Amino acid sequence: MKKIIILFSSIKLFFYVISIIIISLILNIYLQSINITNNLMQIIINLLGLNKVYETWWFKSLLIILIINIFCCTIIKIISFLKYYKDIKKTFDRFLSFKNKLSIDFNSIKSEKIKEIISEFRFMIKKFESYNNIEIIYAIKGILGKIGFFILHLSVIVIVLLFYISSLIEKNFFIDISQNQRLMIPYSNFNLIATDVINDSKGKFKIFFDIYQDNKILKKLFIPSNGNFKINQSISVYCIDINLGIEATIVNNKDEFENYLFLEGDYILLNNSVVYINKILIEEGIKNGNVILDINKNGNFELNKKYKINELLIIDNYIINFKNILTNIKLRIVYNPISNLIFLSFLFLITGLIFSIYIPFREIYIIIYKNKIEIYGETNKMVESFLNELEKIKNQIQRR
Amino acid sequence: MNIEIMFIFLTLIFYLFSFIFSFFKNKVIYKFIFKIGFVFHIILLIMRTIYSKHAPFVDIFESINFFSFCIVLTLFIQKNLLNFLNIILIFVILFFSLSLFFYRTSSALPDALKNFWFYIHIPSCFLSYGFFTTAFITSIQLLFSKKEQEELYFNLSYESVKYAFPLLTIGILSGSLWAKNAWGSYWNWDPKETSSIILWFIYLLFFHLSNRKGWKNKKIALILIFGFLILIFTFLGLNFLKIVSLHSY
Repeated sequence: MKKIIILFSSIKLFFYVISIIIISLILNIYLQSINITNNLMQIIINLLGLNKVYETWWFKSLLIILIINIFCCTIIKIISFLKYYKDIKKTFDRFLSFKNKLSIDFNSIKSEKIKEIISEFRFMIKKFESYNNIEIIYAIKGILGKIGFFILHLSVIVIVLLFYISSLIEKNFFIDISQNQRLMIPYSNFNLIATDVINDSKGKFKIFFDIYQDNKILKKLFIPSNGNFKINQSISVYCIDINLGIEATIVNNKDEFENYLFLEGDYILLNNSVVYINKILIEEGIKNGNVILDINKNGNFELNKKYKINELLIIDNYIINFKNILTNIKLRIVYNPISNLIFLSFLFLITGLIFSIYIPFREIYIIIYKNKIEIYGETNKMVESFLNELEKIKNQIQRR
Repeated sequence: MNIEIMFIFLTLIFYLFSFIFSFFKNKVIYKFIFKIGFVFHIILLIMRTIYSKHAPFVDIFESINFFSFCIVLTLFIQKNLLNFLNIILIFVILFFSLSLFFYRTSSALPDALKNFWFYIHIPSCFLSYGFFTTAFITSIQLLFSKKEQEELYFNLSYESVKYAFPLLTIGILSGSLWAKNAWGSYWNWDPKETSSIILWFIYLLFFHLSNRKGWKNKKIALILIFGFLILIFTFLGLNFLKIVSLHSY
C-alpha cells in the first residue's frame, strides 16, 4: 500500500499527466478551430476524440490519475506532518539539521525573558526543556502556512467530487407559467405567482414574482426576463423567455362573436383589410397595456396605431375588442442541494492557496548555555525576511 | 477634441516619454513621468466608466487597455519590479497602442454581463494577466542572464506568479459560479474556459517544479514563456482567430 501511495504521489507522474492534459487541451482547441479535409486525419481525430477530448475515456482517466496523485500527495504530507509532531515530542535535536544559525557569545538573560522576546515576534512556544544547565526553547510561527497545503489539496479533491455528484443529482424542470397562475415549486413547499410584467425604459421585460410558503407571502421579487433568483439554498429559478399574447373578441355585423389569442407578428385578415399586431406594450403592467397595430384598410395604410386595453377598433363592419394581455413565462427550475457546498469548497480552495503561498511556516530553537546562546531557525519560504527576523531576535536578546 | 481621446494620448505620450527618459542617467525623472502617465491612465478609466456607466473592461478596446493598466498596477504592488520599469513599459506601450486600433465610443453593458460576478471575475483575471506578463518579462531576463543573476530573476518571476496564480484561481472559480448562474453549468469546456484551465495547469506546474532542485534556473523560464504564449492566446487569440466561444461579447 505504501509503495502504491509513493508511486502515485510522484511529482514526475504529476508532471507527465499535466503535460499530456495541457497538450491534449491545446490540440482540442486547435482542432475545433480548423476544417480538416484529410480523411485519414479525420479518422484519427474521431477515433481518439481529439476535437472533444474532455468527453473521451482517456482524458477522464488522466483527470482521475491527477486526482489520485493529489490525494496521495496529501496523504504523504499528512504523514510527514504527523511525523513532525511526533519528532518534536520524541527528540530535541532536530535543530542540528537547521540551515540558519546565529550565536550570541555571552549570556546575561533568563530564559523567561527570551520567551517574552520571541512571543513579541509572534512565535508560539511549543516546548521548553532543560538538561544539565542547558535550556532549550522550541517555537513556531505560521502554522496556517503548513495547514494551507492540506486545505488546498483536499478542497481540489472535494470540488472535483462535488462537481461529479452535482452532475448526478441535479434536477432541471422546464415549466411555463402565466400571469396569476400559482406554481408549486418542485422539491419544496413554496408556491410562485407571476403577478405582473412590465417593459422597462429600454423595452426589456421585467417580471414581478410573489413567493408563497403555506399561503403566506414570503418574498416579493422584481427581476429581468433573463434573470434568476433563489427560492432557498437548493432551488434556483431561471427565467428563460417570455411571450406575450393579446386576447381579442371580434364581433361581426350579425352580432356573432369569436375569441382569439394573437401574438406579436400575427395578422387579422378581414374582408377588405388586414390588421398586423406590431407590438404589445406593457410599460405600466399588463392591465394598462397597449397594442400597436399596422392597419391596411382597403389599401390605405395606418402604421403604429396605439390601442389601449378595451378600446374598440371598428373596421370593415367588424368590432375588435382587445380585452386582455396574456403572459407566458418560461422558467427553468434547478434543484441542486449541494450548490452551497461547491461555493464553500471554492472558498476553502482560495483560503488554502493563500495560506500555502503567503504564510511561511517558521521554526526556531533557542539553546541557552551557561555562557552563550544559539539560535537555530528554519522556514519553508521567504528566507530573506526570516533571516532578518532572526537577526532582530538576536539583537533584542543582546540588548536586554 | 473629445476629452477621452485627449487623455488617451496624454497617457500614451507620458508612457513614451518615460520610456525615452529611462535611457538617461537620472532615474528619478523617468519614474516621475511614468507616475504622471499612470495618473492620466486612471483618469481615462474613470472617464470611460462615467461615460459608459459600466466598469471599463467590456469591449475589446477597454479590455486591452485595462490589461495594459493592470501591467502598470503590478509595479505598485510588486515594488521590486520598478527597477525593470523600462522593459515593462515596452509591454505597457505595446498593449496600450494595440487597444487604440479597436477604439470606439463606449456602449451600454450587455445584459449578459449585468452580474455581481462580472466585477470579480474580470478584474481578477486581468490583474493575474498583468502579473503573468511581468513574470514573463523577468523570465526572459532569467533566460539570458549570467549564472550569478539567475536567482534574482527567478525570485522576481516567482513573486509575480505568487500574486498572479491566486488571482487567476479566483477568476476561474468566480467565472465558474457565474457560468452556473448564466449558462446552467459550472464548466462548459468553452474554448476560453479550456485555455484558461491550461494556463492554470501551466502555472500549477511552475509552482510544483520551482520548489524542486535543478529547476530554479533557465529551465523554469521556459515554462513561464510558454505560459505567457498561452495567456495571449486565452486573452486575444480566441477573438482574433474568431473561434466560436460563449465568452464573445
